Amino acid sequence: MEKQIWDEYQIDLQSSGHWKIGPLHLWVTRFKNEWRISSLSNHDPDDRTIEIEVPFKQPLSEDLETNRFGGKETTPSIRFTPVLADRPVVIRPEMPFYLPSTEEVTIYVSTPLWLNITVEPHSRKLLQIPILRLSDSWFGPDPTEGELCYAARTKAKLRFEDLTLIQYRALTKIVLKNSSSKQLFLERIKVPVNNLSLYSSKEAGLLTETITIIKEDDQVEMKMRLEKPIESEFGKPSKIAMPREPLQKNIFLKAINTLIG
Amino acid sequence: MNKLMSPENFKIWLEAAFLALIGFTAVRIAVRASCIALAKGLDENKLLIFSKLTTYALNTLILLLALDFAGVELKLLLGAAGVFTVAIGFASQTSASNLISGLFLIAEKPFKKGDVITVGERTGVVLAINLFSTRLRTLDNLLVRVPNETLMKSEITNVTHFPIRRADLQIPLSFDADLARVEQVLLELAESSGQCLDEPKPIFVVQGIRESRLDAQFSFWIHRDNFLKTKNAFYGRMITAFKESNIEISLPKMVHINRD
Repeated sequence: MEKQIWDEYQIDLQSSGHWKIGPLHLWVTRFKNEWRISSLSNHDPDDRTIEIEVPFKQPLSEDLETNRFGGKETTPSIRFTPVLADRPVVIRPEMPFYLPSTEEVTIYVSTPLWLNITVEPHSRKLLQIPILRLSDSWFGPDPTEGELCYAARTKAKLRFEDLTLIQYRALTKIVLKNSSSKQLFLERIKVPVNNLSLYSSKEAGLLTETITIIKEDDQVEMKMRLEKPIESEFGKPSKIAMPREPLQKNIFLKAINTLIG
Repeated sequence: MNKLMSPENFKIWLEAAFLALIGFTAVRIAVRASCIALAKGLDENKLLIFSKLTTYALNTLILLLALDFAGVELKLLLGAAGVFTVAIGFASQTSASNLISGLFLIAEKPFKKGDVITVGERTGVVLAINLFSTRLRTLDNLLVRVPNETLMKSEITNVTHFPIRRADLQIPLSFDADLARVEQVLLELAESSGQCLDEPKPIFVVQGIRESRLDAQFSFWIHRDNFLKTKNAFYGRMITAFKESNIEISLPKMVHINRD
């Protein structure tokens, strides 16, 4: 059985723990007045192995990127919780396709999560680190107008069954409705994960709200609606993280930028 | 006038000065409160103009009222002020030009506080845009005061106006270089960098053939915050990758001929 990453761990004084979560290696060391977090990534999206070693008894390499966090006195508890990326993620379907007028399509995307590290007391946040660092991407009509996003390395799928559920990735269901008289060309889709909440369910793992994008006639902009994941499809979801940047309205808001490129 | 300045009227002058002081303080408070109220609707530069112009106008009015209270004949004073203004006007042409240039700059907004701009040979971060001059902090940490008139007359390049920038790397290649392989290596480097944007796509172009080399250019886009760091790191990674792939960078060769 695969080891569970999202958990609370106990680290003794002057002791370390090591986690390998897909491409990310993480070492956490506890001192009396300090936490030390070192990391290393091989950036390989296909590396999906998970290893947990607490306590970790080998010496740590000196070449690691290390962050130090001071405090009055540390306690043994350290908790790993998932959070969605801090910017939208641009994802491509396996093959670009046209969506004819009055048609709708459902696609499923999976985006890598960030690791949120907190310690007791008061669940103090130490660090948020991407498990898989995605490349930067620009989403906009030209270099003068648009938004800095991440470029997903995986493709959007048309069937839920085609997605591999991975502990450190979140699933997003996107419904595209073309209510206009012209067909829509889908080459890239911007998933605003920074505006989404994170849910957890036994059946589907970690997932976000379902996004419905509607292209209406004679409108340049599109409408976007966010809905809680449906229980019949994903099991009983419970909310585990709020959006990083909540949207002002949750029902039928106009997307500022075009969501489809 | 002598009568006005006599010790008998000293009390009236003191009262006028006190009233002016209260007036100036009230103006300061009122202008500051208005600026706070308008802060959401106006940008920093427009707020600066509003506060300066309102303060000057109201303070002048208070000064005139205080002088009137002290018994000064304003008609005479205004007549003298007219002549004085003409003299001042001739003497302060440059200041007036800077002031008007400043107003145009603030209205036109070619840059804002915090932008990095290049004016002439100076490149720096804009610290403040004032009515008469703009202050820059150069990259080697010098404070430069540029008169607004100079800015109006000069070509200004705003380096940080757009969020993304293109880095153009000039690469002299040897004639033996496999261009398809070079392009592949460069694209892989851009893809694995993390900071090189995948869209807009990187471009590889051969610009021409010179006496001893092929002139190639590789262009990729970077977010402005990471520009120098990513570009510098790319050069280092490129040289390593070229060595590993046996791609030769063309260097000028000097041949010594010994005729003895």
